Amino acid sequence: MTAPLLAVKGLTRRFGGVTALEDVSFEVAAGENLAIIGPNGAGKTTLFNVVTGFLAPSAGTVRYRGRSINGLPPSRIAAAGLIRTFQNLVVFGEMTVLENVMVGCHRWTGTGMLANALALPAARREDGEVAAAARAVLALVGLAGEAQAAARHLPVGRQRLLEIARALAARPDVLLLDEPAAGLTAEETRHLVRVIGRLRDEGMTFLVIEHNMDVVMEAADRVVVLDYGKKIAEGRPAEVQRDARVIAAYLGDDADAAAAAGERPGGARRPQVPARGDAPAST
Amino acid sequence: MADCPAATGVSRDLAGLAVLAAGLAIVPAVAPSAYVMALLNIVGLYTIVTVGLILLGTSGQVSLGQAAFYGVGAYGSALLARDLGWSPWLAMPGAVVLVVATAYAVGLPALRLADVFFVLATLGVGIIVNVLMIQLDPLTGGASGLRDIPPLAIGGRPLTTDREYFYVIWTVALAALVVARNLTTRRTGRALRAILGSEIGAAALGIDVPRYRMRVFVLSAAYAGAAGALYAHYVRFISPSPFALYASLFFLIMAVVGGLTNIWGGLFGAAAVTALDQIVRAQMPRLFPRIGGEYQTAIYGIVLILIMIFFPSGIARGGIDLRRLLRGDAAGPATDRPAAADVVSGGSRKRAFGRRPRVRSEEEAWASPLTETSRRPQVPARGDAPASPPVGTTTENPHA
Amino acid sequence: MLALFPQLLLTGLTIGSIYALVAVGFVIIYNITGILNFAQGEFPMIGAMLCAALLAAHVPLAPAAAGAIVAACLLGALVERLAIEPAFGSHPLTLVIITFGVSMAFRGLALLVWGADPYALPEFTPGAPLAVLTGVLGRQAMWAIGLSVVVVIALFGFFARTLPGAAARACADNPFASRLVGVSPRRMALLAFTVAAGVGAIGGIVIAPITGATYDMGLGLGLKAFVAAVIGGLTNAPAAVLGGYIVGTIESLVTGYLAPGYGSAITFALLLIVLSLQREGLWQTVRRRQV
Repeated sequence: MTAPLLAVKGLTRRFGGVTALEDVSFEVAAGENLAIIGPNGAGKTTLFNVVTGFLAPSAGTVRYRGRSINGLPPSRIAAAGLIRTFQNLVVFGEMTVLENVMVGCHRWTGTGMLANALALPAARREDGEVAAAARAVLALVGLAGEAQAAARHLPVGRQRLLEIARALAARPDVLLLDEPAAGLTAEETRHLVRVIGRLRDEGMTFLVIEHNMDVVMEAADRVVVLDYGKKIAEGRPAEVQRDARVIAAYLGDDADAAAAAGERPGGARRPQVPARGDAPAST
Repeated sequence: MADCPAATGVSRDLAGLAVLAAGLAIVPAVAPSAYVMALLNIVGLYTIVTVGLILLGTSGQVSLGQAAFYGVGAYGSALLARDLGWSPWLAMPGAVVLVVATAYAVGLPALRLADVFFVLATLGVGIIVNVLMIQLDPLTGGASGLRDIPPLAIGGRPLTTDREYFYVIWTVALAALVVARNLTTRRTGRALRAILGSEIGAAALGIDVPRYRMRVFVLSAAYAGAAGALYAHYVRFISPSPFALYASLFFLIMAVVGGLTNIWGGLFGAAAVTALDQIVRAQMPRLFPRIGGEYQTAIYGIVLILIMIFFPSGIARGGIDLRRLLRGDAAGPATDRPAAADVVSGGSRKRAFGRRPRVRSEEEAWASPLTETSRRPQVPARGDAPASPPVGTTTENPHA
Repeated sequence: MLALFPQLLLTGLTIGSIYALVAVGFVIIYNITGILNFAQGEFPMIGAMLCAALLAAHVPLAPAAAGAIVAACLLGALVERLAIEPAFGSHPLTLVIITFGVSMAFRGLALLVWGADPYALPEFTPGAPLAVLTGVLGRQAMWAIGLSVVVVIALFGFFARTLPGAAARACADNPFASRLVGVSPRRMALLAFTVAAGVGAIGGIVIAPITGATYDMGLGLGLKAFVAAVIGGLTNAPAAVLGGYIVGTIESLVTGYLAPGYGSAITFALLLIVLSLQREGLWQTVRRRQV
């Protein structure tokens, strides 16, 4: 059995009195597309933050290619090949679309400050390669026409694509997408699924947080379901979709279904609205 | 390579550089007086400091302590040359090394602070260094300063005229401009601007944000220190007063006038503010005979306010924006204003009036994009797109 | 050596009272608008200079002081309307730079109007000073300390008990929500600057008989008040007052025991230490928030 590319074991994260993640474990094999789903506030983004180094785990380990990456700074983890996007976009607004994507190439280029300061030929050559690579990625995702536009002038849907393009430009080993389809039209979503599919065929490994079930069903190989920070289900999309605990988590309490799944016998009513008003914002 | 985005910018800058160098070469021949030469020399020195400050600005940082580094460079080189007998050509780099060490020491704690508090830390450092200049009397000569600083010499012959120093100073200034300009392009330039745009986004792409910020900070200090060292050997007498807080504000004004992210603006800013200063000094005594002291601070204060309100990206840039406006292109300065405050707005949506900056930058830097879909309604800073996608709109029934 | 201590302490408390008042104004503005107002130190200067000018025009002390305070409040409002309001929505750093500009403008204008010479103000109640241990506390110093305490209590009452005060607190806590209930952050900003200017002016008028009034006293006051506010945690007015006294005392002790010039340096070294050690000042560590 080949070793997994990314292995999360017993991952826990607490914020003061709140446990955002509790004992979460799963593995991602090379070339796999793993989807993370769950109601709002389940801890999905926190999971990403811990895996990519923006937050330190309270307990548990994250292993990438067999080696622990706990506690490493996010730039180190990204430089190792784990590239993520953000749910609240962080495009570089003042730079053009092309420049944004060129920044993505940072991790596999090597011009240091000194070489850059002296405008050495190697630096200039590399810059040309970076520009070409960036254009190729823009063509792949369909943003080639807006290459010279300022990033902040793009509508949100296109900005999302830009962020994905930028992540792609980094030639990641694992691409972690945080709600890539949020804010996209149906057409854009289909396009996104096509792009992800093409990349999958080329062997890219994905870890995707998604609410949009179309994307999950079509693109994911396996699904992990989080609720209140715990993993409550894992398996193929079709299996997870039918899992009673998952249904209960999303749809609120059907007392029978909950009892059948062994959750909270005689359990309390769960709010129907997925957004959780009392939990802290960063869960 | 032809369509490489840097290419057109490079050829434009090279052309500008050539014109500048040619112009500078003939200035000494056509300059009307020694006074003008001296003025141009000062502009050259200020250009070096301002360019360093602007370089710092491209990564989104502002320092109000450049006068401290300017002063350490000046005192360092003066003491090495005068008291230790070093040749000024060795003393100046030596002083820069000293400044670099100081900047590292200051940067280590200071760079962990969020924007505004970082600025204030640099302010504090500036004041502390200035006080030390006055208090460490045996070393620095105290408030009366240091005299008899050796001049620069080439081939054994000391440089004595403003004309001779003109060439030295402006050679260094040109080199400083070129290096700074190079650093704002290609990989390093993009990394710095990415840090300005979003530190989190930059880190998520593998950019070592703390390392870049430290290096740029130290470099900007080195620029100021080099200028200070040159200054010491040029005027041959230094005292603590040119290195006080107002000098740092002065440098900031020059950077702001030139455009906090526009390297060539360093030259424009230094020249414009120095010119303004000269005019004010000449005209004010006529209008207000009673005054002594630094009355021009009132003018600079108002200038600073006006620029930060109307041209936060600098007057030089503001001019370019107006041209685009007249051509009917993308919005000019007024509409761009919330986004055009190049200093730090970048891609961030921080606003005063209710948004409290945290002291430690880890809090601030990692705060917003790491939260899940925000339930807090966000007032869109930019007209078009909503800040965060609507909650749960695409959640579908898992049954389907 | 130790005999000096009580006097230095008293001097420190006296000067600390004005730092406290300026720091309170600082914190008020920061809490309500998120702006660090480095022109804060100019309001004491304006208050003192205007009062001196009115006295020179043979206006009695009380109306002169009152007039100066009112005028300072108006100037504070003017600053907010002319310099802060147009930059509404800018990054806080832009606004900080603007406040530096305002500080410079006031300083320069004061120089133009009143010249560089110091002005003397008479004590409120001339009389013999009070002997305390081996030190001496002047009457004006008692006024300074007493007034600072009274002003802080009055401000507390205003913010806690009155409707505008509650509106201001709401705005400080959550400007978006307060807008929803009809509180205008812009109007609250105007209120903040007006109040802060008045408080600062009071401080200037009460301390000027002791230290004199000059056109350039503002910058140092503003910076030290900032240090005081940071020590107090920037969001906590009573702590800022305490911070003011701490800064004043440390400065006085350093000036007395070391060389006079080191006062500013030590104050700012203190600032740097506090900034690097604490997230939110000495007091907030005790009440660290969840999440």
